[in-house]
Amino acid sequence: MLDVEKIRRDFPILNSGIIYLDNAASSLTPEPVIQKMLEFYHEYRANVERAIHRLSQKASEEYEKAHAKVADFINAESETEIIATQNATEAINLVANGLNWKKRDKIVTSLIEHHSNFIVWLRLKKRYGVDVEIVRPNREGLFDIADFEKAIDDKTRLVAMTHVSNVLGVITPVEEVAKIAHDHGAHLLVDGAQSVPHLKVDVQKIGCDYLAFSGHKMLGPTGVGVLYVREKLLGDLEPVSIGGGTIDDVGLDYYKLTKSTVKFEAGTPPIAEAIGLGAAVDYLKGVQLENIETHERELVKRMYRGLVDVPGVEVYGPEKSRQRTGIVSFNMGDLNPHDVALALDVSAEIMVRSGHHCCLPLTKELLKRPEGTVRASLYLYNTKEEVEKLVSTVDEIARSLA
Amino acid sequence: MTRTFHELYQLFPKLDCGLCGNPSCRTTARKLATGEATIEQCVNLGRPEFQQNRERILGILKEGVEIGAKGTIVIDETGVTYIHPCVSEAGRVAAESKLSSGPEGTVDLKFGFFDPMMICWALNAAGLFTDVRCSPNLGVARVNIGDKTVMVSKDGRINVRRARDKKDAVETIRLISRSLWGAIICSCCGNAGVDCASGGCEDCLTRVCPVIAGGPPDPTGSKPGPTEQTTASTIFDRAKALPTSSYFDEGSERLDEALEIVMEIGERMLKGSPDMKLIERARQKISEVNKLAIRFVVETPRVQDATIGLILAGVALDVNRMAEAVNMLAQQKTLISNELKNLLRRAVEVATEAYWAYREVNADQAKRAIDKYTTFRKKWTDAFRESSEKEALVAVEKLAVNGFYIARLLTKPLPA
Repeated sequence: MLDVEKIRRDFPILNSGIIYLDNAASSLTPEPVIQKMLEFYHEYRANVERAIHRLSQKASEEYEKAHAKVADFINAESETEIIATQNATEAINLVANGLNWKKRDKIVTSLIEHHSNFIVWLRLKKRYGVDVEIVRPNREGLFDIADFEKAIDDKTRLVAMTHVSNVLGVITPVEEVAKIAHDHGAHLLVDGAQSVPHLKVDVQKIGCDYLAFSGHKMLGPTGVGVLYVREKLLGDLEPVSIGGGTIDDVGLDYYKLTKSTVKFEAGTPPIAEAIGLGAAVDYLKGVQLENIETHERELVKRMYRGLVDVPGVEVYGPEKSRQRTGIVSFNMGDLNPHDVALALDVSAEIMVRSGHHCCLPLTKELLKRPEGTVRASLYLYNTKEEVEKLVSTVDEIARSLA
Repeated sequence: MTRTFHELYQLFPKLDCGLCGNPSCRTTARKLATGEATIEQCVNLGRPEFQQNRERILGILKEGVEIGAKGTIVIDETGVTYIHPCVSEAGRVAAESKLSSGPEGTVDLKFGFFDPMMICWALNAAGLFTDVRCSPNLGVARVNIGDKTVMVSKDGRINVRRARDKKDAVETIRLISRSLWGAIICSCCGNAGVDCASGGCEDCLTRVCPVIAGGPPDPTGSKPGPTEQTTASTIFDRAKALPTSSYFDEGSERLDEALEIVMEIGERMLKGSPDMKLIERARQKISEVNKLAIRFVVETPRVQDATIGLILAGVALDVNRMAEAVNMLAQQKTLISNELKNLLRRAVEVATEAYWAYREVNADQAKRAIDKYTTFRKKWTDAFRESSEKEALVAVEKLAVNGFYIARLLTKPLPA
């Protein structure tokens, strides 16, 4: 059981009375994470992996420790499998641009992907003539595993799937997808931006080869994300940027990149942010993801049902809480989602996201709502009362503005 | 969780009788929520039939009423932000402006920025917008102007979507700001601008009213420039010279007709044969006045001159409350006593004399109306203490006090 009241005290931003339900876009940051980053600036502000002096040693130690914490958090075999990136988008781009593509290589992805896990593959199609096949789910966003099996073949090199839809909250059966992909000799990239912060994600259990996620959605700071790469695949991946901190040796007409994963972190990395992400992992481990999952499941049941019961409101995604996380998308008649979001902010200080959520293929093709949806998304600090306030305000908006 | 202002207001008698010293229950509710009024000031809440409401109001006040912005004083820079939510209309502009009134661009938002009910009143009255959707409870309104959508919020935020370009966005915000000028709450007295322009607030007539003097906030932050003293005694002359004078003249004529109808109902009531079909006609006339007044405010080039339209809307508000008063009287089941008839006769006299004093710009006549009101009020107070016809007496007072507001407009300079 989560002690939500205690947790909320770690988020002073909530004291103003706002109801923050835009967690799928970015989460709030708790005090211990902010303090950890301040500690870097106050006590050992220096560059990492470079100097011999004590500040740099301490900073490097903390920076590496953060990698190890993240590795442990997703059950990677070692911290060498963890690459610090700017965000999940950069992580996916690293895979897309770091692999050696050949014409007619095939990539299988899905219709519910975020643009960051979609247009990168379309670009490869344009650049190298790779084939991109898109699997369609049903209207609730649920996949039929047979459709994957139909889409995949022995030419498939990569399957790129989101673990959780950022619009519908629906969970993809990534373990099964991994097995099918591997049966065909393909690798699996999982976009974990919406799952790692909310569900227990175990890369070994899933069997994925790449996992991308962002720090800022999991109580960490903005500016840092993670790419997990299975150790034996590190050699296939060429760094996209090279330069400072990536070499073993450089001469006038040659350079030799280091074998270590630091070669993927060219230039001075976001040090404070990476250390902050380590602290965010500590925080999440402290409250335990299983508890967060249970808490969100309880709340999302209320939220989904409450919204469905408002006349004139159309709710998307599956109702069964086992198939979803705490993201609920909805619309209200012909009312533009931005108008709904604005009304929620103005009248009840409720922050939600509106629009297409960087998921135009989904909102256009699947929901037939090119203008998008209103999306409320939960996290560990949200309460039953907040969900009830959302539902009652949506009800009032539906009655008076729609 | 805190309650909304609207929840509190809904529990008020909503008679707008003026007995507490405020021209409307909206203002009194706001002052009660901020601790600037006490529940005892409302005579009607003291009556047995409002006992339950009174208790619920006290309960809500304990829970807390979210009325203004968070904190008491918010200093806010006026300006337009071009916002970039997920693009659903490529090539169009979305803009947001947080309006701010008062000198130096600062405003005390303890009462909130717009009166939520008056947002709805102004947007509907203007007749300039299509698909007006408005929720006083949420404090939000949505209107369409051509293919643009505008959202207005009680905190002064105006959002425009699908504007053609930045200029179009700014012009749209400017149009909305002018249309809603009368809905802006005065941070000193808690009245909406149009309540102040109705003569309903003594403070506004003696001090500089930041809402009226400040003009409708401009989204680009520019100020209307040095303001001139506007008095009810000069508005008719000044209006003549303006390109929008026809709105004002026509509005004034419609209002004359409305006033005559209301007084005729009063007269007939004295003779024992009220004709309530007339009420609807009076209401129609008043809504025409509102429309013309807001058009005048919106289309008059200089802000200083646009004030004149706000005064017309204010006096229309007074006449509308007079119409409500005679309607309240007509709803009485029992026959009207002689004492009440006597007071009604005096109230009709006050209202008629005051209105025509305003119309003919006759300050002496306005003073006489005020004297008559003072005498009326003494007799009324004695009668109210003993009477069992309290509801009817409140209506009679409402009729007279709105005449008093109009007369007061002529005897004091207007703060513009």
